[in-house]
Amino acid sequence: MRETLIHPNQYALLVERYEAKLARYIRRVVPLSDDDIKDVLQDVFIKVYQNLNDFDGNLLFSSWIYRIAHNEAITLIRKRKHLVRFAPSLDAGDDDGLDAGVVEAIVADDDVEEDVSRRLQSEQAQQILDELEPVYRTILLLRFVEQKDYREISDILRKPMGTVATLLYRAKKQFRQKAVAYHVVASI
Amino acid sequence: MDTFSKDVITQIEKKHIAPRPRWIFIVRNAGTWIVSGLLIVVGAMVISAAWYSLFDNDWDVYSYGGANPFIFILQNIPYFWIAIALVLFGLVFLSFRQTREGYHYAAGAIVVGTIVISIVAGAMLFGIGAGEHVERLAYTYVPYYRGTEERHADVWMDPAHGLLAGTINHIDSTTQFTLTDLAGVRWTVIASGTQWQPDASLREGAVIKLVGTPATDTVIFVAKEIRPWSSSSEYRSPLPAKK
Repeated sequence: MRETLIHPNQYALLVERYEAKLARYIRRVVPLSDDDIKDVLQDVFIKVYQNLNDFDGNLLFSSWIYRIAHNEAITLIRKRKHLVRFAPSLDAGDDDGLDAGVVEAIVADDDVEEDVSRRLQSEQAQQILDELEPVYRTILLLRFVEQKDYREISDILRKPMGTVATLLYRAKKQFRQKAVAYHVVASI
Repeated sequence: MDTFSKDVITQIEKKHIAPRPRWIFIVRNAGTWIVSGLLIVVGAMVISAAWYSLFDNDWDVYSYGGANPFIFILQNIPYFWIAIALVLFGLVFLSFRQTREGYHYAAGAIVVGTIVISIVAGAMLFGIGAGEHVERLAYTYVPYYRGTEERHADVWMDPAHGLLAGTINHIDSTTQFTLTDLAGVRWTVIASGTQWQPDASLREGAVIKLVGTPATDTVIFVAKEIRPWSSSSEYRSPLPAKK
């Protein structure tokens, strides 16, 4: 596959395949304008191309490309910390807005009684996510929005599976607390 | 091809970007493994010095000097080596995590694994005498490091409490010899009915430790028990005290 991707035309197909997914992920991790997203994404794809020979066949290709995108996003967060801290929520009309199902999935937990608001506005969910620490925000996004399993998240974040489970538990807990505070869900 | 992918390909072609050769990544990954391995080896050497410091200690002599056993233990813990070992364990952890596969393992598993490997390997190195060598190197080259032997000298140069150490100069008989202690004072040692430890022998030039009683107002020492100064060689002299 590596050999095939080295040819620009083949690589363009890969860019097309992941462009929208990665743009959506980066936008949710770090709020940026469309132009900035495009620049970051271009850097991601150039890095992926440069490092094609570093791809580990034991991983899913999607995990590897998400890892590179994630690292770029985290680097940006560090560079623009202030931007994230006072991040505005996404436009309500944004196609990438979170749907109520995502929030229900995040809030739902075996050890907590569920009372999820069925009519949750997507921007409320994004606002809660924006307020979480980046590590919690990204892990919730990967699990509930990008629908990655624990193994994939472990490979993307380069963290052991046990740590992924712990972070996910804490992230859900924080999300629930904020959701309750914002009356998005009933008290738990 | 959509506009964005076209832009990416244009950038790649314009800047003549090419995938980095595979060997770079192989060397980089091998390098992190090698660094991790070397750090473990150094850690094991450090642990072997800690083993030496612990095992070459005369834990029973505190009672002769009238010292508090807990204080004696605290004074004889090899803090220097433990501190270096902790730093090395931290570096092993960071280095191991940088390997391609390192992130699969929990921090606790890496730390415990590193400690167990270092302790076992350190014990083996101690068994072949590396610990003493490392200890002596540190004493020679690390400024302000007092070393195990200097601490031992403090403990054993206490004739008033029945502890003495030095080199046998002249053998008068099987029960009497002359000894120059670590401070350069010559003693006549009476060794009648004395218990000699297996590694200690009555030979000129042998460096020994004595438990006994000093005769009042003289330089005569009545030995009850004699031990070798070093467990590795009866002729090994204590290193000179640092100024």
